[in-house]
Amino acid sequence: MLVSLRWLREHLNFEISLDQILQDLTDIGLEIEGTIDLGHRSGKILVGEVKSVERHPNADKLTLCSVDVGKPAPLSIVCGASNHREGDRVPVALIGAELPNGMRLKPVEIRGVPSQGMMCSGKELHWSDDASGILILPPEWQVGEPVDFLIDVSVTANRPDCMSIHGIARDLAAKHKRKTHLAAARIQEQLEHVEQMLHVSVKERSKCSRYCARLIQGVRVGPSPLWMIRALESVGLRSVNNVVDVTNYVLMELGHPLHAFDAEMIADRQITVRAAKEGEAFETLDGTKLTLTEDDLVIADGKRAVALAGVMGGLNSEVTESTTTVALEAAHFDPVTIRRTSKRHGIVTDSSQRFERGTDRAMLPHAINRATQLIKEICGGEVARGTIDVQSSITEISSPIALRLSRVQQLLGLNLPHTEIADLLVHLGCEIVRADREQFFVTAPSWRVDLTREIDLIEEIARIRGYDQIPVSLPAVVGQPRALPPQSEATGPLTDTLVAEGFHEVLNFGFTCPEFLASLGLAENLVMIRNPLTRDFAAMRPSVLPSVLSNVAHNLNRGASDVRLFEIGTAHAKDDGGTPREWTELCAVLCGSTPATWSSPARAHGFHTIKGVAERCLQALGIAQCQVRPLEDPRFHPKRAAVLCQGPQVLARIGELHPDFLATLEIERRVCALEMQIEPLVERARARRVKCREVSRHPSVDRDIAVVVDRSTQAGDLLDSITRSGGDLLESARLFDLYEGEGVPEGKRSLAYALVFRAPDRTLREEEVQRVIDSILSTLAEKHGAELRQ
Amino acid sequence: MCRQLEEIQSEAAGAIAAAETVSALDDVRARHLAKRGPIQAVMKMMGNLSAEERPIVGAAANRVRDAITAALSERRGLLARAELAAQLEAETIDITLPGEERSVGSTHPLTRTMNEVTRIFTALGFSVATGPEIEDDWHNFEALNIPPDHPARDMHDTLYLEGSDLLLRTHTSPVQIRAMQSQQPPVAIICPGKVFRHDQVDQTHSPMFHQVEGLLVDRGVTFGHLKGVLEEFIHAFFGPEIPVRFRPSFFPFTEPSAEVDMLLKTRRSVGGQVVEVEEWCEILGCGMVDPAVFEAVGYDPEKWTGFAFGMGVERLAMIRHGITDIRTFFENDIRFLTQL
Repeated sequence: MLVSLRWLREHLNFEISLDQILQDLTDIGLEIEGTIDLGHRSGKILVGEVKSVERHPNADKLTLCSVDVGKPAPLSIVCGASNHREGDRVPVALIGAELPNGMRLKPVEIRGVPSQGMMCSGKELHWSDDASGILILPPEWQVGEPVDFLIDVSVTANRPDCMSIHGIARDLAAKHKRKTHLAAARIQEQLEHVEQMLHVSVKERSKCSRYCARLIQGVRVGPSPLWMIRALESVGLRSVNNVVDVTNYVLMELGHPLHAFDAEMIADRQITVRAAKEGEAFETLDGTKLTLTEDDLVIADGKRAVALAGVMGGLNSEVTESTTTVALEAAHFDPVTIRRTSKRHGIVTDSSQRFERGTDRAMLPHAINRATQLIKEICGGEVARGTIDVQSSITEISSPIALRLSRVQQLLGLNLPHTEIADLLVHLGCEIVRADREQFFVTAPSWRVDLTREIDLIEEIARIRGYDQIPVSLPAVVGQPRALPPQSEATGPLTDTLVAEGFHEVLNFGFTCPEFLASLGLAENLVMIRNPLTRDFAAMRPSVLPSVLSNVAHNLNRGASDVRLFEIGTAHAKDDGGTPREWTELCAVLCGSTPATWSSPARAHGFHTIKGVAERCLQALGIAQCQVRPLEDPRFHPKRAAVLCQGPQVLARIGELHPDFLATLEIERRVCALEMQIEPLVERARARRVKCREVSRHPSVDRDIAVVVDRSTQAGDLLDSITRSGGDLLESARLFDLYEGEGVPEGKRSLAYALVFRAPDRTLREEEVQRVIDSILSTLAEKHGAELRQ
Repeated sequence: MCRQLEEIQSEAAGAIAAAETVSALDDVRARHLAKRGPIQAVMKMMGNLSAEERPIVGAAANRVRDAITAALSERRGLLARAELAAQLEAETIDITLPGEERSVGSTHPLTRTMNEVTRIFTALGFSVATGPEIEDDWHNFEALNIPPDHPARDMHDTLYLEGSDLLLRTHTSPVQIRAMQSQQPPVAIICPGKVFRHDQVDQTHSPMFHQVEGLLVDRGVTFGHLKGVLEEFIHAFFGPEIPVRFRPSFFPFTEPSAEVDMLLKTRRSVGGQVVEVEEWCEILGCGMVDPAVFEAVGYDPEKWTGFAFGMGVERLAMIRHGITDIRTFFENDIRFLTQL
């Protein structure tokens, strides 16, 4: 909400500097989003009076003005606008002034004549959108004063009482243990009683607990006086006509929404507050055609709805130039009703925003009187005697709130004398109806609809006293022995391993474009978002892989040649019953090659690179042994993909991706991927309890063997056979060479293994080792047709 | 014979001095100290000497042998050092060639930030709790004292799932609710995770971002404790000298509520000139847990008090690393990821 310092000061009945106001607003929880200095800080944007307007000697379209800004000598200002006249008050930016758009005024000569300042338009001051001429100021404004200072205050949802100039002044005053006063309106009533001229009936008493109305006859609708126009502009509103302006002025001043009807348009002079009929048509005063529902509340006349209660008036009863009789409404509506209507029809107004947060029911007579007085002053006319005031019989009389004084200290850690607590509350407008040694019984002021519980009062005490007054201390917190969640026992080692392997972690949105997923063959069981921002964010991803591949494409497009990325993130899909299921998966992707260096050639990433990565990832979780099975998955290469598993439990899916799959992402390179479901690995990582073996003190016997087998014989099967037939004495077998070509028959290949033999308790004898090797070789020959390569 | 021995010694001395390599020296040793060498020959002739002369010559022979041995060993040491020095000299390499390369990966800047926040709070005694990203209205809103039709719902533009009342959590507070439902106080947890809002993507907004929220519930927890813990955190994360202020604010699930600012030096253009200014910068929201929240999870608000807080991870990382566009985090460009 925009606050004009000029207007605010009218409601502050004590001396307070601008800096103090800004500090206090922050301290009492009225956050300042921004400020516009129109002269208060700099002293360089002032109210001036045009003393004379002459033609510029060298330019037809320019004028040379003499402007009094309260300095000993008037300023000589060259001006391009033409709407200013002698005697007008105008905003003058002096040399050195900084305008809200950041422009700083420098001494200039225009067509040979120096200009000692600039007269500003509304737009130049960020005051209004009007750039057509100089912003003419009200004659009431003193020459030489700063123009204004605008404060954009962010009012939190619980503080409707601060959605007005008076409300903010009232809260500032409480901070200084002062009270603001509202002068009672003085109205000359000339006509017969309003009840003779207008009838009000409230059908929906639970949704409209109070309805006040007044009537003014013989008004002249026209433009508002300058002071009113400028005041509305200073808080961001535009002038409409003098009657509407009065209702807006009172809204901004007191925070209470009012509505003015053209009383001639009210059929039968009958106002009924009722539920809308299902499907009832209504056209708002800005011309929007709505179809209402039974949950909407309307103000109706004898025939039709004339206003959407609390939200907006109707076109059919709007105050126009030809209006002569005005019916003024001030009502209290149920916040939830107004909020639902506002949401349902997508209409947010200054009025709806206040009603949905909760307005001050006790303020109604004052607000309607204030508006009546202003209309009579500004628009003329005669006022009907009295006010219609329909009050719901079921007015809640809330019982006082019990405030236990010990509780204040308990919650805040701040020890306050009871007299101080009482003082703070009273200056907030609370009443202490009863008190004993332990507690106060407090009633909240009518404007503080948010104060209903003890805790609300304690917050007020802290807020007004100042959060900085609460002493800092540290609680005794005894932590859990395991501070990290179980999942981190898998994700921690996996992340460490992948980072050591040269992978960069990426993070992606959990939602993506369903068409994109469909093009990747991932359209099934998607969890869809009902109200996505764009189609690009309409489906929860059923796999992390597409996200990481998009990152690969991004980096390849920017010239990266060695792309290693991984993400550990959530994915979602619907289960058979349609319930969304959430799980975490790891996806690591490799593309390109390690760059050549002076000491090593470039190495292209391939299936076995990602396989090694996967194995080291599993090792990091204590899984040293696993089986390899071919993977059949249309996303992967039919011959270069595998699952790593232990029995039926799949631990990882690895492989090169299918070119068709990659084509969708416009990736034309080989890409290898590793996918792991995290949850099954967590249990394994947690269950990991390593028992150490004693290391043998006896020397090993190292032997190399090379065998020639059919090319189709799988290395994994060979190693299996070697390990099995090697028995306990075979400590390790490492494939150190793989050879095809000269010396090896066509269709065959040679695999060379470095074998290490060792016994835990003795030095092995040559014959013992030879026996094992013989057994290995005969097994290999028998099972795989392997021949020893000589 | 003694003269003979002296000659042997002086000849050996000459040969030792003349030897230029360790292997040449080995030849000298072989020649002079061998079993069939000259000293041995002299010794063999000692049988011809008188009983008086024999010990004198014997002693002299031993002396000569010892002297030659010592000279050999000294010369050997000298030559060996020289040879090693020459060898090392020949092994000169270009030490400015780059070290053998091996690519090092990285964790994402947001992960790092979250990990550091986690480290600080776990050191203060908090544990990490996690929960689902798809939530129901009760955990995300109602249990947090945000009933339907409450204006505070406007603070959270929510993404809902098609065909159900489920939603994407708008904050990680539902994790706190789940934690309180599953255990009795004391509770000291932090909840890092992804959250989702119906926000347009721009420089400072993202429909998905990360939060770390925290909750402490125990006997006698006060607003003073809240201030203490958060000041500790900010000083640990941003630096011990950073001024911190607590401002009253509003969150439906806490009361009293506060927003926390810290004073930051930033550069900004004033009247066309770039100047360094100090500005209060909002970094987290917090407050004492509202009794309504305790009632929702079945805690007795008379017995327990507590505080909760929440912060945006992107914001912390942006402030810390001078990142000006939140989209950078999700673009995942390697040139960005390798900087941190």
